[in-house]
Amino acid sequence: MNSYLARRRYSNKRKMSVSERIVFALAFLIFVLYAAFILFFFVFAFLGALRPDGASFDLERYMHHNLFSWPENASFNSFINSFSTLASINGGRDSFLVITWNSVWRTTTYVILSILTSSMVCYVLVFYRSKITRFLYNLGILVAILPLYGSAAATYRFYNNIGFINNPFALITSIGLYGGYFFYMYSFYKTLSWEYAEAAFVDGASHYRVFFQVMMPMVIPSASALFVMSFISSWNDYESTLLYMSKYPNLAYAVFALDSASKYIDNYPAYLAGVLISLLPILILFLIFQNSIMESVHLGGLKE
Amino acid sequence: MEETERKRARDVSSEAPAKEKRKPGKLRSYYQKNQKKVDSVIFATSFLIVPVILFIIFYIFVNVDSFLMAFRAQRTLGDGTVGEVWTIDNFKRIWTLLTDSDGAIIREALFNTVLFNIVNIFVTLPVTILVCYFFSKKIAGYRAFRAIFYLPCIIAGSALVVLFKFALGDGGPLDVLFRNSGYTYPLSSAPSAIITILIYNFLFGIGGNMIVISGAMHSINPQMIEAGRIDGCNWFQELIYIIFPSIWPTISTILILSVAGFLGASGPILPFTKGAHGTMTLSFYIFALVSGQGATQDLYLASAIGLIMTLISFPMALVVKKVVYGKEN
Repeated sequence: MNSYLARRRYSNKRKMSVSERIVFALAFLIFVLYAAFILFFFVFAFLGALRPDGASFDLERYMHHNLFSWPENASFNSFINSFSTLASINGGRDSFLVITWNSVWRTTTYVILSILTSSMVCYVLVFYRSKITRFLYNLGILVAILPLYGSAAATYRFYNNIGFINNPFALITSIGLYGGYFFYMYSFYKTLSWEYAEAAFVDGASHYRVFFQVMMPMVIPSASALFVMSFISSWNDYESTLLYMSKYPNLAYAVFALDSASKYIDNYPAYLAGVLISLLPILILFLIFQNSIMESVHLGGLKE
Repeated sequence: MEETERKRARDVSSEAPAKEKRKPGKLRSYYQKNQKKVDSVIFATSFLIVPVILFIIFYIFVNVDSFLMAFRAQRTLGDGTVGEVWTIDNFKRIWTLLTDSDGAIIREALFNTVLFNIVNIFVTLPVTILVCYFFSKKIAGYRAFRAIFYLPCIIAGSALVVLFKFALGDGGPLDVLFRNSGYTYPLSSAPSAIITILIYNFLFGIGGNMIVISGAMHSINPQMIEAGRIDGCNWFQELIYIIFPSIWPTISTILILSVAGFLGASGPILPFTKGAHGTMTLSFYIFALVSGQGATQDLYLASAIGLIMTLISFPMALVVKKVVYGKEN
């Protein structure tokens, strides 16, 4: 609260010099241009998706009209047809609903397991100090700065040998000692005071109760940002789907597979509509949690 | 006589359980004496045991196997079956792929990887710091800008590349606009596809570290900045002498992790070109050797390349960590 008031006092008092005003005006102009550049892709895709369904990708003809003009005979049919377009990967074996469901269950399981585990591990490493926990934290730093590039090959072979390829049980690997944004979670717990736990112990609470009902709830507002970031990266992960879970395709993989097969050539509006639909859940989640993501994630130094 | 014996026996049998109550087992007595400590250990162990076991299986075991795979290859054995043999052929092949005048794919991949690092560390990161500075100063519309700049980071690479290719690629609307106006479209005239992917990486990479850098700037004590203002420093001095040192722990972590992942730097090569048209990078080459997308599957060669990359990157990361943290470390 004091920091907030200090910030308010500071921002109210401050007056900009002329040179500063010029710099900030220039920065504002560049920001506007860059924001317009990013939004251009979405507007372009949306207008493309509204074009008559079944249109082929003929840009020369398309460019005779204004780039951002509302399309002639605009219709939302492409958004409906995009379901079948996205489902045409894997020979049409999986429906759009199945692909969406794959995205949902794979992402949710991964995020819950990885973030919860990360929370539990970091809590113990921060508050139950011993030689072992100190060793585990230092090992975490070593793992972070030791890039083991070749492990993809051995992982693939190991998964193959133990039947983890195209096996939902492989999600158990989400329970990682240093996964789930380990260092971010660690710094969240570092900021908590142990006095809350001590008060709960005095009232007769067990260690589990203290963690689940006292300490973890205090981290949840900050950890929700990690939850969303983890959700986004897992939802968008098409590379591991390609390697390990191609029989359980998700939406990001469907977009990649369609692009690889150039199946949009004959019906690009439906394809662009499919791309936009695949982005929708993430966009909604981001708009809801953007403040939490932007303001509560901190990363400290890599040392004890 | 018989009655006295029975009485004695009764007494003994009734005393036995009483003795047990008075003398608990060693374990029980230790628990009673150190209840708090034992409870803590049981609790901590219950939280760590599963992640530690999985770490041993899926990290340590897998990486030891990866090390061994680098020195193995599949061959047809004497009895006609296919099996693994110990060999250093993988390293010989890497040397050939690095030095061969025709098709030196690893040389190309190494060169492109260095290019990606130059863009990421020397262009994208400073621009991100500058952008975050203006956000921290609450430039007009900063909330909207922040959300829009971060958009590319929340979108699947596969989808974003598709939109990029449709909108800015060769033959896209901007290409046609330039051509109709009598100009050459810059991306069409680029010497190779790698330039396009580097531009893509820069344009959509600004949001990458924005969250952590913004978070670090958000936590700077405003009174410190106010003191600098009173001393007469302008916006640039404030950025260099107050803000930058304050966010140094975050920047140093980003730098160390960047150096550790130096040889793994890459762009979205898979959805763009699958490594064709001179766009191969080291990390994508390993992915291609494992997945069979863009190269013939060879897990052993992938392991050997990975081992060499680790042997080069790890000392680099340690040196940077030492330099960054100095004597404190």
